Amino acid sequence: MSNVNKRILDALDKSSYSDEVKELIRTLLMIELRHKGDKNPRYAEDYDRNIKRLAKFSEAEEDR
Amino acid sequence: MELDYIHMKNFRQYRDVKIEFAHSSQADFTIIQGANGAGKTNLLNAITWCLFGKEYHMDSKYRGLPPVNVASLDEKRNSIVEMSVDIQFIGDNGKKILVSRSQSYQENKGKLAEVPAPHAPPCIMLQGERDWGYPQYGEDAQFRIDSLVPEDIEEYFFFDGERMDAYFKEKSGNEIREAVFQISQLGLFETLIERLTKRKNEFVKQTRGLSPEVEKIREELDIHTHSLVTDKEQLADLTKKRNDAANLENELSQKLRNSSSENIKRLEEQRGELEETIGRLQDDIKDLEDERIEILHKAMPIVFAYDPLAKTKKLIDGRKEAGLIPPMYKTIFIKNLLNKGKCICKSDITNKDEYSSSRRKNVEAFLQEAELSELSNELIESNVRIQEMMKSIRSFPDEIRYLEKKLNSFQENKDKMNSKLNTISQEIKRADIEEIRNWETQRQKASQDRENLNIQIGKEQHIILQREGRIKFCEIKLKQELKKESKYDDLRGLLTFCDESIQCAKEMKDAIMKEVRIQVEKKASDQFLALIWKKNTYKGVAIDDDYNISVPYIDGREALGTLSAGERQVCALSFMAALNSVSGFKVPIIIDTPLARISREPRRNIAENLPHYLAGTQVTLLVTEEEYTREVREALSKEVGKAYIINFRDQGEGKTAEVELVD
Repeated sequence: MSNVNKRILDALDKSSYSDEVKELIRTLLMIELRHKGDKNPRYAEDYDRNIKRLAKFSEAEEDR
Repeated sequence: MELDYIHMKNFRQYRDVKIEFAHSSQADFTIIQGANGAGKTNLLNAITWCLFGKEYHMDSKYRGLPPVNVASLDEKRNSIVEMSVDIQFIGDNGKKILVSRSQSYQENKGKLAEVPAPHAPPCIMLQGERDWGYPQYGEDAQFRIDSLVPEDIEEYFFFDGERMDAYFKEKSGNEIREAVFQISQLGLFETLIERLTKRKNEFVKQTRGLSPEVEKIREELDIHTHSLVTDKEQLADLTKKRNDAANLENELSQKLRNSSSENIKRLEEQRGELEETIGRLQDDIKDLEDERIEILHKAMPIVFAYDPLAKTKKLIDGRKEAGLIPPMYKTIFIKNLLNKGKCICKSDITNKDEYSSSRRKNVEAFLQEAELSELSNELIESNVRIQEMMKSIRSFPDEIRYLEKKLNSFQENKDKMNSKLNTISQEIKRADIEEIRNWETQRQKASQDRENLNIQIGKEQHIILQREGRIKFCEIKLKQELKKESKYDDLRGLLTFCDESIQCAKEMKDAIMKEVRIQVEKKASDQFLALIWKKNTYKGVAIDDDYNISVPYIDGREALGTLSAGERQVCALSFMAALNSVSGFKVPIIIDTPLARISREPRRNIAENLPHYLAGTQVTLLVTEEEYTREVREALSKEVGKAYIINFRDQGEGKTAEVELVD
């Protein structure tokens, strides 16, 4: 069940950015939704893990 | 998603009440009629309490009182009383979703205490293909609920008629922008961009063994990034203060316009018109200044270089006159002859004897001349360009003089109008009524505060721009430094990926923001014009780039400040319904006392148009008998699938309400 506004997801799908960038934004939006309202959200680990994971694919794609 | 039913037990005046909602596509309006104080708004509160654990539409008379039904507490003295609200929805896939929240209470020695529940509320259950799924509780359940009806934007689905009237009186452009942000979840992008930037900087910080150059840039970047956050907070604070001052100024103007003195009313209206004209003049002055700057930007380099350009032209012309350009022969051609040792007349020029040497010298002399004019083509082209440049600024002094004359005349006009404004203010300050004099003094102060704050905002915006420029510069420099050593390749990859992602998020945010603003403006405008009873009076509803709402008259004058309470309510209803329709969430709408402030005549018009503008949305109207007149009933007859009356009793044992289905 996705709860990110459909308008945002549609705009993201249509954008010309790489699939990795799109996936990162989609994932981070979900993380933000999950932690919305938290006083001190611990987002750093989630952010770093996803950035590192997707940046690797992005580089591999560039190398090809 | 549609509402199937709500079941309230011991919630405020509802001891055990179940209401089933109309949800056929033909007649999806439910009417719940009740007198003032019968429990209409508490029905709205039961919904928000069940979904979010808060009563968002609480009347001041209930503040501080426990939500549990008092009569039940009295009956079951010293026993546990459970208060619960269950709401069943029907999802878009036809499957049912049950949301429940309960809280038990017990009275002990005259004190009411909450009894802890075995599971953290709320609870959600989803219907599967064959059976219901397992219940989910607490945070997980809340996450699911938020995905169905986001808490931040509940007020665009569950409207409160009383609050709607004050909506535009209380909300500034910034708050309206906030509403658009909330409804389209754009706030998530802002947080995401901020955090992604922080993480990006952290990647550099965490890297060990950075060169001193990289370390230096990183430190500078760190300082600017941190300062930017403070600068932005400062800007937000100043903007809020400016908006507060502007709101106060408007409020006091409204008071003066509604004052008992006809003269003051007239003066205040004159002031309103003058301020509008000054505003337009200010825009014209700004356009002219921009035009002037553009002309100066284009002309100044040529003006400063005019003398060297003229000298260059003279030199080139001189060479042309001397026949040196264009050259008679190309250098390459002469070099070729010298290399071959044969002139074009076939004579020998190899230097082998006296005659040959003499001929060779003649040919070499040609080469010298040709070399001097080797750039002849470029010189000829440049000469043409120099001529064009010198010609292009011939009209420059006239253009600037004309613009300055126009600017001066506009400025003079503006000064005259400002002086008139001063006279009006002085006249109001001499009014016989002390209250009016005070309002004017306060208004003048608010106006000065607003102007001062505008200057401070401008300065702060400039600082932010400079800071952002510096950050960009540092980022470029950092990447250049990192490129020098291959050990930084991974880090560089991460930074580039973060930059791309930040850019993508920024572009998405801006594009959606613009799209949503235009859509909300159009929908709100269409709906307002359809619902409003004064035809051919208003142009519609306009939302500018700063999210300030205006309702212009047909002739362009601003009408928002002069709208009646009913008109304001229609305006707010149109705006909120527009926000709802662009939200991307399909949630039923509940409107509490939608027609309370509308006079009798226009009610029918609204009742006839509302279903059209909320087509495809399940609607529940909480109305009083006075609102739900025969005309309204007739106008909505085809849309209403279920109608209820709240029967309210306030007797010795406490308040109770029962809901009766009517034909």
